[in-house]
Amino acid sequence: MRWPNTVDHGLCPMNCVHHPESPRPGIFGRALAVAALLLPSLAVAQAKPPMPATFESHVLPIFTAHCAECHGPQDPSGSLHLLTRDDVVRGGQSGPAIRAGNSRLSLLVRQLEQGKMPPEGPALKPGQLATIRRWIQSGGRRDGENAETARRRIAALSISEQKVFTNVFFTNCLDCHGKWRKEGGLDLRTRAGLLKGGKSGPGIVPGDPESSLVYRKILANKMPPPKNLFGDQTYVTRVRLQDRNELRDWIAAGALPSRKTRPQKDPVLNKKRLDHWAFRPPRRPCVPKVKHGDLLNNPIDAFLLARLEPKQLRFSPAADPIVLLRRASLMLTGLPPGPHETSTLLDGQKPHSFEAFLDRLLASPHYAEHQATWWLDGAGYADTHGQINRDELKPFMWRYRDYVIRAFREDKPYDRFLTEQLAGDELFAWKDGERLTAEQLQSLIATGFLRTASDATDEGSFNKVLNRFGVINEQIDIITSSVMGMTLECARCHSHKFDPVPQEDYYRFAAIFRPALDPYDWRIPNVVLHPPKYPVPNKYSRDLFQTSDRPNAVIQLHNEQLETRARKLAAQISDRARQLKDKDLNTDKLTASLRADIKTLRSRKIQSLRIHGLADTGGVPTPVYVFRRGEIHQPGGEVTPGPPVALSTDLEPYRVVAPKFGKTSGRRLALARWLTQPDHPLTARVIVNRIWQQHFGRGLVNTPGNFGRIGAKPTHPRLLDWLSTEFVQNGWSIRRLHKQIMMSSAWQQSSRTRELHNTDPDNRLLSRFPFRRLAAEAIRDSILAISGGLDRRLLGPPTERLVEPTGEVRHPAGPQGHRRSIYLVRRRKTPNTMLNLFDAPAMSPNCLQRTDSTVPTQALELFNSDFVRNAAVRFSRRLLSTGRNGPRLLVTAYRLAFGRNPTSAELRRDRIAINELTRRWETELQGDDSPETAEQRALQNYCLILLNSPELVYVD
Amino acid sequence: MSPTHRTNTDRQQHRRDFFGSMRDGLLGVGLTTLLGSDLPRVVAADHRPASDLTPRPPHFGGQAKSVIQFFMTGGPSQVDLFDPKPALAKHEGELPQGFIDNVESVGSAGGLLPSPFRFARHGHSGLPVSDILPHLATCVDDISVVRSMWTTSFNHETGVMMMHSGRPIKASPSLGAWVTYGLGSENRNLPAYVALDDPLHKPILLGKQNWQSGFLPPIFQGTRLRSIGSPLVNLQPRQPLPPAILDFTRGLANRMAHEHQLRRPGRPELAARIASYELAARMQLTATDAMDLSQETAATHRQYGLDQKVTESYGRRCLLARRLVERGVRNVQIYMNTANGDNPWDHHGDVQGNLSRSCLQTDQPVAALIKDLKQRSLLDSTLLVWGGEFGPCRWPEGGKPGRDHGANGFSVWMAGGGSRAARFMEQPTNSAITPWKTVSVFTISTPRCSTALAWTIAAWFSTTTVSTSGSAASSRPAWSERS
Repeated sequence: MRWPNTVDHGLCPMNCVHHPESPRPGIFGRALAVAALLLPSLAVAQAKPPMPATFESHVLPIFTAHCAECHGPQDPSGSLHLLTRDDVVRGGQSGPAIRAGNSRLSLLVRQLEQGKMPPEGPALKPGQLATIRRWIQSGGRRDGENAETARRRIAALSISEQKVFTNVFFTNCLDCHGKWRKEGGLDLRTRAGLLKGGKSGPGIVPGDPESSLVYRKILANKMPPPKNLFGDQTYVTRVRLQDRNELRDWIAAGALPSRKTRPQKDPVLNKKRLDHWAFRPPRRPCVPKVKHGDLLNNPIDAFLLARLEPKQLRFSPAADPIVLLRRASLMLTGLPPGPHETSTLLDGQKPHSFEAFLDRLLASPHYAEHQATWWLDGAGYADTHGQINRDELKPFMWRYRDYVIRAFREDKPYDRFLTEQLAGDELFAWKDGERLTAEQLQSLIATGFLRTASDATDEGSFNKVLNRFGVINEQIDIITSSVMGMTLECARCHSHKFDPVPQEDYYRFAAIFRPALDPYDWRIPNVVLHPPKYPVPNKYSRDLFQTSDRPNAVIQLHNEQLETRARKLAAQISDRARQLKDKDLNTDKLTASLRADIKTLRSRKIQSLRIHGLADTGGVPTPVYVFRRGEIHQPGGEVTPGPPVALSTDLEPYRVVAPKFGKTSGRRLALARWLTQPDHPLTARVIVNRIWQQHFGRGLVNTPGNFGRIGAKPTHPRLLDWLSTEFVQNGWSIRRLHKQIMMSSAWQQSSRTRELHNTDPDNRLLSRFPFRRLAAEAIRDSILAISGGLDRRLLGPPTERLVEPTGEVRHPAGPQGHRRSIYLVRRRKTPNTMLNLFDAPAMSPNCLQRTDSTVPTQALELFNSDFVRNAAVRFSRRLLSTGRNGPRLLVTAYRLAFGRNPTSAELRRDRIAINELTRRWETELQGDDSPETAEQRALQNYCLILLNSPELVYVD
Repeated sequence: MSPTHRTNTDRQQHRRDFFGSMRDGLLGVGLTTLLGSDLPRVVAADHRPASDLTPRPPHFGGQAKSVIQFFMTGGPSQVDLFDPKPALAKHEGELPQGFIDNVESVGSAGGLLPSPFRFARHGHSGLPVSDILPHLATCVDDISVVRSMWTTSFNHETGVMMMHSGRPIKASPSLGAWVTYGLGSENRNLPAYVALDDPLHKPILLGKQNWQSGFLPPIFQGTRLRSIGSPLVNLQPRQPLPPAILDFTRGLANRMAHEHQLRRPGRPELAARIASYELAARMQLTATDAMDLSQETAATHRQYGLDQKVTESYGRRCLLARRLVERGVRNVQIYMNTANGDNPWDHHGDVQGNLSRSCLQTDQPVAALIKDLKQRSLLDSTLLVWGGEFGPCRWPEGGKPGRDHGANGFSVWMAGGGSRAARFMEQPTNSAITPWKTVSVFTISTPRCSTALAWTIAAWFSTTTVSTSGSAASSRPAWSERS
């Protein structure tokens, strides 16, 4: 949910950001298009056949006068050169500028009609526009060229080799004529392979499509064959009519190879754009001097105070120690402090040092669980594939979640953490099925980070090339936003509107992942292709298979449960057989459906331990082309892998060295090495900012996924740089960073405000600690911890969910209670109702900043749901089991729920209230032989009120 | 008296004022928005309030205030409902090449299949409607049929995404989310955007995604109300507390919340939270009241078919839609039940049986809703949109008398809300063998509705405005328009 970024965009229409697949204009544009399409169409219908016009005599003078300044031969804007006919036809970044014979579909005409061009200076006169239309309509001829020559020349120019290969061969043929198989000796990956052909002769005869074998096979519908590799005939794609025609025209024009284009410097890489703080390496600033030196606990305070003092502000007074305990515990572990942690202070004894308390928290496994929550938010973690109703489970995705928890628990240096997640499979010689060391296994599991995009390509009808690109795009969006703080996604369709990111950058970045995620050599994200009609060999699955010498308990349990259900159904069949006596079971409908159910259940059994990770598929990947306007059918020039060029200054260059071992390309490892350079302008800043955000609600940069030029400006740029360099110097240790922040006076100040803050109304300068609501998981876990229903076991497979007939989604308790929220299965289609209500993010694709909504359905959940009502009953029993009563019972309740002692006024109020409740229950229960007494009922109601208290869901 | 004590007295005073205002049922603070605003963010950030449901006037004057969308999942067959193709009978069993070139997968196509139903012209407009929609046939002068829809995919999922959001990707806001985003809500006590699906929540295609807010803030997403039982999850607890206990419990909770707030001045989010608890309590009454059909007369029940088993379920949702629209709900989406998880308007094997059954379940309730809205003068302010994600092909699947999926042409109809009624586009009779993608441009008679509706309707119909074949205008068949 990165809505705030989108709001900030303002200038970039939302549809452009969010759906660049479509070449069409967005919603607004569409409304206009209706009108635009209607008006000229009437005119065209009534017009006489147009007078022929030619380029040099009629059109060139117009272009020279109005367009040559930007679209002349020197470094033309958008790579579009308008001064020769052939260059006009070739077009620029957005594709061919004209479509001969159809002025209305010509990009050039659309831009002129909509007044987008020329951007400055006088618009074209209607007569000039009419001349251009007439020229296009009459075939786009040059002076003295006859119609047929022009047609052939234009056809040859507008159809590039890469377009034919992408749309015809890559999309439809590579399964059998590519990297893995060369049926009939034919390899269709390159022009050379096509010309060479196979056993039956050359694939094509340049200049003569009718004699070209490949074209004839396609035309006759012989190829692609009616059944695919798995014997499936439903989802075989056929070569589209227009692609087939383009193949014909390309062959007819001589099957020319692509013209090598000179790489051109994109105008977005200008000085103004490049000169942005986030693209320059952080430099360690001096710690500023401040007047109130006594307020400083560490350098962080100096940076903050230096901004506060000129506004006549200071930090608020230090918060009460008891407030700090609760704050620290909830911030680091997502759980309220236990009674043993607060008792020393609350009993009025001398407190332990806060630092020692922090160290204990940072060493707690609950710290690691809570930290994993925000990392997984950024990674877009879910346990299912999403997209369609089936919402297929990734049965072992939790191993990646456990990897993340383990990493935080051992405080794995962030550079290592990142490297393993981006390229864990490239770190050691690894081959399918080999026994692994524990460390190797962990780094393979870490690549689960690259498997979090929603993906339904294991469903035949969603396994089209467009869907595959959808998965890759989503994954790239996750990586770039969460790790690099860049909105690279914009550059998928056009050079970035604000940042120095040319369109090529997106495709160069995508090329890094091409060896593992090749849309033309695709691995399905599952072991079964749906509908599950045919056995699919493991090698078509993206999952990695792990051999294990011991039977895995998780798999066994899973399979046993399925088998038990299958046996129950089998028993029903035998019952049925007895009922029907002599009748033939094979004709019985019920039996048939039972048998089908049994088959489905058994097919869901898991055979081997899997890793939902990513590894290169091996061999030479298909070339990566820039897609004009993001359309997968409009390839432009080829690109080589690499990170965004704007970040390359002052850094070690991105260098791919294929490891000697294995089949891996080394492209992702090179990315990890490049990203984790100590001087990298973004890596440390982005992570430091995300951790700051955890503590203060907003990051130093309030757009954690966008450090670009329209992202928020840092409120304290020097502090950000100081923290980033400090972080790297401290060995990329996240735990030390937390401690450093929490030991500052800024973190330890009170959140109370007395006066109206006219000088710092929204607390950007941190003149007080931000008062905040807990995240969804922390609310649920707190309720469980307070009521004594929390199962504190660590790691392991997730708790499966139950969907109630009312539509409520619950995750039931096990014998030891409810597990922490991070261990609940995260199914995209059926998220836990309570977590969902309190803004736990839907992973579409990831979340870097949660929203805090306040809606009545939250009140309904906390006041009426079984989950909270049961917790209230449990809480009341927990209180009674202490054997205390009267004020001492209330004190225990307050300590458990809010980590403090009640005031005397509260004690009085609550005692009266409980008495009144008891009295009312006595009236209600008269004549009722309820097993619970009025006192018990009253205490349950009272506990429900405590669990509904705002004090529980907000942190002071 | 110590100064501290005096402060406490002041606070007591203050608190009493506050409780006084509570007794009047007023919570002045934070209640400008319905169903809770995103207050913390509004206050903390310097953005304009992104999540705000305050009713907003449209930029241009318009009639439509609400939308009711009948979503007919599966792809209702236009050639059997609104778009007679007599030429199909003439070419029965043939499969012209023009079709093959325009489809991605011919699969197991047989020849052309004529409609098993009879068409007759109805009303002043003379709109042909087939004999399985007898009730709708009596309202043809209130609706306008659009026969030139097409979409990008013949998969249900993609098609449903396209029809709900105009895009084949899963994170796009739905039509209703845009409507709510643009216009806000007119009822503070009910959700602004309601989805009425199967009361047992049997899965429908894509489920919640159909009323998602996508990249818009979650406040604009649809709320699924159940048409039987409790309309919202946890609207009532499983075991309700006796009223005397409930009142006291609520009162104490409220008091604690207020005291908590008083100790933390300058925190609007706390006021909003208190307000949300109040609103929740009110919703227990309003939502229950809105969904209480016993308030309707027996005649109304009969009109919507609530007295017959076959129409009862869908009729109930149609009647609820009217009650919600009456109460200012902005957008209502109605879905059919799915018997076994099938798509109700998908008729692969048996177009005659399946289509008749789906029509039987929905025809009377839908017509009743049109008439009811009209009689209550609500039709002018309510836009009704009826349609599915695509329409089937004109050939059967395999040898069976059913129809396979087809994305290249289908029909929807709209009514009310300022859309011009009694209007349809007539095609030349030989168009049974015209490749459909050349049929691309249609005009909707400039729905005189708000900007927000215009956007959404533009999105909704956007697929009809751009031709992929590249010959939109030149090869456009000569439409003749009747009105």
